[in-house]
Amino acid sequence: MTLGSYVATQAIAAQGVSVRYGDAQTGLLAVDDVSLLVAAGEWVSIVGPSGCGKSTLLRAIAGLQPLTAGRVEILGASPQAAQAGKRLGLVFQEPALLPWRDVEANVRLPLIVNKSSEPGVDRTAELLGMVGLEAFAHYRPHELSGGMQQRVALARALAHDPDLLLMDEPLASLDEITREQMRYELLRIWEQASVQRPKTVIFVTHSVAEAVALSDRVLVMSARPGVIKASVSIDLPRPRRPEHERDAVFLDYLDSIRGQLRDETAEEAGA
Amino acid sequence: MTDRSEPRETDRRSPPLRLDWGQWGRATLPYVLPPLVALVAVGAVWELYIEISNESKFVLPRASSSFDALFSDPGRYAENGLSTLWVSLAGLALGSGVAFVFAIFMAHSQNLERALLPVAIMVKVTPIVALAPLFVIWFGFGWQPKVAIAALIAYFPVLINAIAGLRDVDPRTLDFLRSLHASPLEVFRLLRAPSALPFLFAALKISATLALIGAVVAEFFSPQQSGLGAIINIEQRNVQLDEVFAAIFVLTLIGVMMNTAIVIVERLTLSWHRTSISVRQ
Repeated sequence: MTLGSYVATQAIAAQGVSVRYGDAQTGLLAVDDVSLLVAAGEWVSIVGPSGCGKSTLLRAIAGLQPLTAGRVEILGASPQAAQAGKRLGLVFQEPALLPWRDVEANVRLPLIVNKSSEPGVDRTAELLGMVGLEAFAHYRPHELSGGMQQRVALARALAHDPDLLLMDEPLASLDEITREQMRYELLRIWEQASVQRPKTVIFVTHSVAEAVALSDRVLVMSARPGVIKASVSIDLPRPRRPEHERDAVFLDYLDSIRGQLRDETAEEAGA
Repeated sequence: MTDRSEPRETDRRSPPLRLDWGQWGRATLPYVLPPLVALVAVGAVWELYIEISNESKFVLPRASSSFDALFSDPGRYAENGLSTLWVSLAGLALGSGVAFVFAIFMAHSQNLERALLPVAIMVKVTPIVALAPLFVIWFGFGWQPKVAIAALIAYFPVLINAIAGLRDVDPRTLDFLRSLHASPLEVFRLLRAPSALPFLFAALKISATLALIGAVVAEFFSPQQSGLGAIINIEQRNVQLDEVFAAIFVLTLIGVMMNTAIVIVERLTLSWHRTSISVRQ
């Protein structure tokens, strides 16, 4: 799962990506000239203050956000081709499930749209087991807790066995206790799902600890304009364990990334 | 591993919708009894007023004599009531059906909405009584002008609410479907149409009442002389006000029945919606 083993294949290649909202001259420059290479199977996290353009960058990679400049390639083709081939799996801060469908039908959603793409095997039951919700297949989302709903969203994002998992603060709306448990649950599910096909992850988060614990590489993003300020490779062994969070190396990574973010907020306060 | 064994409210799925008459009675009585008591009270005050004031029956008949009128010829009221009900339902179906189809296109295109909404509003603000005689000329002497008038008055709430409802989708769910290259038809079927349902039911409750008004107005003008509107028209000229009140009472009954039917279908359909959930809790 490290950079070295997949260096030949780039899952994501972004070059000079800029996104400006509103007016072409005076509008808010949410993302400014960001270039990015992500290897297949790599887990890359993007951390940064609120409103720094992390989510915009993620939507640009998914082909959901028109670019003002630059280009994005997913697996050597356009994001639109990746959409058409059902190569993308999205998870958001909110579960964003369909409230009128039960858990199983929600997870199956990617299989029933865009059927011109390869039909794919129905792995719904297996995925529900993987996220620990096999007993809740016929519950409606509102009957589940927030953490369980987010597991459904994760299973849904994996249902069509995508190559890319794009997650926008997927743990942010959970309570502290659930959030810490979900951190390693997420890793386990990703590792399990990656057995059949390696899954490249872009993971947007506010939490530095989360980013270091999960990622092969952490990108620090600054706000206004949104640029990638630093890229930190996390050389911790996989599979990651909660114990690693007590290692001196882990804490060093935390300090260094938090330092970058502090500079960022200090600059903003001074400006 | 974490919270897989702790569903939020109960340890079971929400109970299946089954009719248990005993339970149904106990649940319904608190809703049926108070309005019934209120109705009887209004009737009593009405009788009492006439007893004291000695009001002429050509100005205000007794509540009891209106009931006598109703039950002395129940067949007449049933037959004409059914006619009015049929015109209302047909008008409601036609008006909301056409409105929903237009709403689909208008929800997808801002330009189409800008072009058509002013027309829809113009039609809506035109007094229906001004149009009714024209409709008889255009659509003949049968049921057709009546259904058309009921439809014309009923379409607007559905149009407005359906446009709002079809657009009221969770933007992230929309992103998710787009990230899978879902077609507009798939987005409509899987996301937009179900999202619009709560709006549609709210609109239907308003439109049902409007369709009933439309049907009665149409019956005033129709040369066919059928329906409760026609009874009101004829008996008012004959100064048989007890018959007029009997017709009004049946109309009220029809209105309440239509509304209740929509509420029941709504509850059954929208068991997932937050309004139903908050009712249950």
